[in-house]
Amino acid sequence: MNSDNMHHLDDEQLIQAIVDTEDLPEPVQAHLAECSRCLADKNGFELEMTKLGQKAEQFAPQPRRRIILPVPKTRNPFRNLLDWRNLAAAAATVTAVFLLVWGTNIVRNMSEPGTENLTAEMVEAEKLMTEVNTLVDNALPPFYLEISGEKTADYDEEFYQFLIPTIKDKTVTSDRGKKGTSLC
Amino acid sequence: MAPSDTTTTISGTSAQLVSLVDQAREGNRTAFAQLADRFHKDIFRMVFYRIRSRVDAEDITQDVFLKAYQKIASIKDAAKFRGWLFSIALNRIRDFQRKKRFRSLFKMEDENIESHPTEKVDPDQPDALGHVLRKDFWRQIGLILKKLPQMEREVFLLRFFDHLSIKEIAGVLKKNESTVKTHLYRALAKFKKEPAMRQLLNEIIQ
Repeated sequence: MNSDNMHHLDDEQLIQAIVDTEDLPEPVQAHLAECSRCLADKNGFELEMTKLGQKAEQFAPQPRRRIILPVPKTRNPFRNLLDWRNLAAAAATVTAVFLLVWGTNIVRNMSEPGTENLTAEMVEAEKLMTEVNTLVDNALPPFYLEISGEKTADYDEEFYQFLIPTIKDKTVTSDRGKKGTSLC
Repeated sequence: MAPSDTTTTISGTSAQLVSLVDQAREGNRTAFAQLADRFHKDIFRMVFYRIRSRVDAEDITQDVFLKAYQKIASIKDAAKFRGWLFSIALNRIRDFQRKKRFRSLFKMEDENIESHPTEKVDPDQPDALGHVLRKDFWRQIGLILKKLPQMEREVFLLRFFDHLSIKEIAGVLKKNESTVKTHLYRALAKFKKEPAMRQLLNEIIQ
């Protein structure tokens, strides 16, 4: 298409060309490519906008501070200890141990006799010991004691002296050193 | 002339950049530091154009890169790193402006934070004239941008000040390309047709 055969671009089309030339209809694009006047209008307006941007860049200050990035964290050796999962596991372990100990004590207490039972057992044991002591004093039952007359017997010192006479010290000293005598 | 989409795309998707982003994504701090060096000025200027305070712009820029460092693993397409960075910066700027507007309610400050640069000019400084010129330039820019609705202003700034392609702008603003083109068209139409805008533009670029 010859550019002379077409009207020049109006303001809307020029602006459209600056926004995006490809959005213009093809004949208009072709005219813009060939028509020096329209191209100059378009470039002139575009240059104004570009100059504005360039001037802004020129008048903008330079940054004085550098960008500071956060320092990477060093690995904390106690980090694992502070991890909530580890803490929860530790708490669960402690609780389990506590429950185990507590439970064992309860079972033990249940299996052991109570205070009343213990007192009754002690009374029984005392009674038994009394019987044992009685038997030690005299092993014969009361019936046999009566038959034997042991029950009514009254033995005094003279009787025991008769049974087991006291050994005189003189005899012992005179017999000392003699053949056939010995000290027991 | 404004940078063409092709040029921007080539620079944005260069193999080196993609490689650096990939390394940074895997936790390579040095790779990220290189990326920060590469885009530091771009992001700083981008922030400064919108809030016009060097100190605040530096704080926000630092914040942007910190956020990017923390979230680098979440970036899906390494080639879109630049746009992703601009997207973070834009969110930070919005947060900053929101907070500043809220504070201004109590301090009786001018709510239009974009029309007044906060940099102080000391007349005794050797570059005092430069300061005055800069201040005047940003005042005029503020007046121009004030005449544009928010979306048109943002698209215009991203296209001609930050040199982003239409595709990148669509990515940053999370809009489709035709919407971006419509906003850009409307903004340019105001520059072209409105006498007040033309006058301001001529004053600035002459």
